[in-house]
Amino acid sequence: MDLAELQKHALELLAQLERPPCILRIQVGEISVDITWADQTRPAQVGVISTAVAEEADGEALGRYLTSPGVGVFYHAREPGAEPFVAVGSVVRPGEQIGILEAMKLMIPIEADRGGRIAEVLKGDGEPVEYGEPLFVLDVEEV
Amino acid sequence: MFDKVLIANRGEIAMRIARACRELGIKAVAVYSTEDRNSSVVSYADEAVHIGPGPAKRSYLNIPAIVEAARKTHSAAIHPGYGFLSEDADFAEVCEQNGLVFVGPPSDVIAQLGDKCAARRLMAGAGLPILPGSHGPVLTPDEALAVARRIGFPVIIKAATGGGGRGMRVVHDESEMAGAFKVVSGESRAVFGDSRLYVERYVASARHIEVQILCDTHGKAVHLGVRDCSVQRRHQKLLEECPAPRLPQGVVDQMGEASVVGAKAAGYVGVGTFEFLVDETCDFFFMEANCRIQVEHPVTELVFGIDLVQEQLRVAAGGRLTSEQSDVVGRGVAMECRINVEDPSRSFAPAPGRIESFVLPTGPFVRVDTHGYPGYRMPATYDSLLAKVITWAPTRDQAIARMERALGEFHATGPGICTTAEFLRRVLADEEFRSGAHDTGLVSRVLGEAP
Repeated sequence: MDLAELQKHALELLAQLERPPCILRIQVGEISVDITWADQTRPAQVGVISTAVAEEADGEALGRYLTSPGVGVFYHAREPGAEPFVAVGSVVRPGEQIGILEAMKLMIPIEADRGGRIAEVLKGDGEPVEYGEPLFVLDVEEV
Repeated sequence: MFDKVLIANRGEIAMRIARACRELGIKAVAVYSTEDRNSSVVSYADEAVHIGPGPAKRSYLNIPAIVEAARKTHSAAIHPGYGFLSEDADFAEVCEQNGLVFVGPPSDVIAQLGDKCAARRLMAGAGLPILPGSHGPVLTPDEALAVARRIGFPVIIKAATGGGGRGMRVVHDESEMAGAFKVVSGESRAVFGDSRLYVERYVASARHIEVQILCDTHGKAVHLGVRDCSVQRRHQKLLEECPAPRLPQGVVDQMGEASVVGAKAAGYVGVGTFEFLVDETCDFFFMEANCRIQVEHPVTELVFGIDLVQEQLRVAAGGRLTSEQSDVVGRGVAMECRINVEDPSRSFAPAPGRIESFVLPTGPFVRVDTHGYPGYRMPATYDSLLAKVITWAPTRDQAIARMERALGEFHATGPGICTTAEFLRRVLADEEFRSGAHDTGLVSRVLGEAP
């Protein structure tokens, strides 16, 4: 994540707060966010924010998944019978194609928004998915 | 009838449609953005599909996501509500191509009525009175000036594809034309993606009165009287009532019949609204046709005893209208107040946030349509409508008294939350409003600001 991107996420986060904090601390490796308000003695923990799903803020869980970027049908491979893009054990890098989303007859490549080892495949080939739905469990620590 | 209907909308109207579905025994599918994941309709509907992140462009305006959600849930039809994709001819066409019933008129009808220049021409051809103005789009400030000289100042410049009170400006004299033209065409291009404009006479002291129509797919059409929507601030409606006060029944009938003729000329299907300007002498002029259910539809429902959303679903499924025009009889007076999270003391700036305490009016003849609940965080991403409070009574005075009582029972508080409820009570207390002699200038007079 570069500085401009970080700044954008920080501003988005601030916009969601009910009142301005006096300290906002963001760490990028092992992403963590600390927010302190003036009348508070302990910093509040806000959920982990990943680059792709910053607005989810659904707690730490989403940091472990690669999620669907849209609504449609999810495919593992370029065509029926072909090798899947990734399988359990594959190591993916950010930007690497991990599947295809078909939406209204358009085939849209799905790319990993961050790297790691695929620990589990959650959605079957040809299965309908929603926006933000977890597709793969990612093991980040192993890499 | 359909087995399952997808609701391509959010907020109070999504709840309204889901309730109509439930009463008809139809399964309702909600779609939602990340911002709305805790919304009422997500838990109320039989199924819910997450279609995208907060910004409407990527969720509620995202046609592929909505069509895929309909396919995933095996929905037979899509109800678009109001706003968002409700009057998008392309969306209606995509639904038609994908074997989904779009709950609304056919795409070509939406396209024709959505272009206000084309709609004006069509309705004038069908014999409806229209205000003097340009016969087609005006392309330059000079062309607009020539039209204005012919019909006389003041005039209003409007975007051909505008709506919702945006993309229009009053021009009082020749010196204002060039500047106003530039502003409106710029706004029109930015908001509606179309910079075509037209010019018509501006009527300063006018009432905004609209006719509710209902048409089936077998060529039958009826009208359900009129609504007065003259209580507006900067073309945003704040309070509506049915019927229009001080409008003779003869004029109501003429407006209704003209609308039915216009609807048939356009090949209209479903529920729709014909908007008119009515001047001091009760002459009326066609303004535009809206191809959707309106925010203010409940006042018509209470007076006519007809569930418009259910009717909309019935005719979309191919059902026939069973009522004749003579069977459609209104009774009493209904009034609707729109409670927005806005701060009237800061020029109605949006004041969203988390609603901590939320108490709704109840009691005799009060209806509230809302998606709010205690603890609900009203997002800043979408429009500011929180609740519609609707009252019915045999007479207008009683409906006003009942509304004053109901608004007094309404409470929504939370950090940063501010609503228009108190301001609406000021409107109800206004002598001019109570006499029913008000026009669209009422709110600016109450506020003491320029219209």
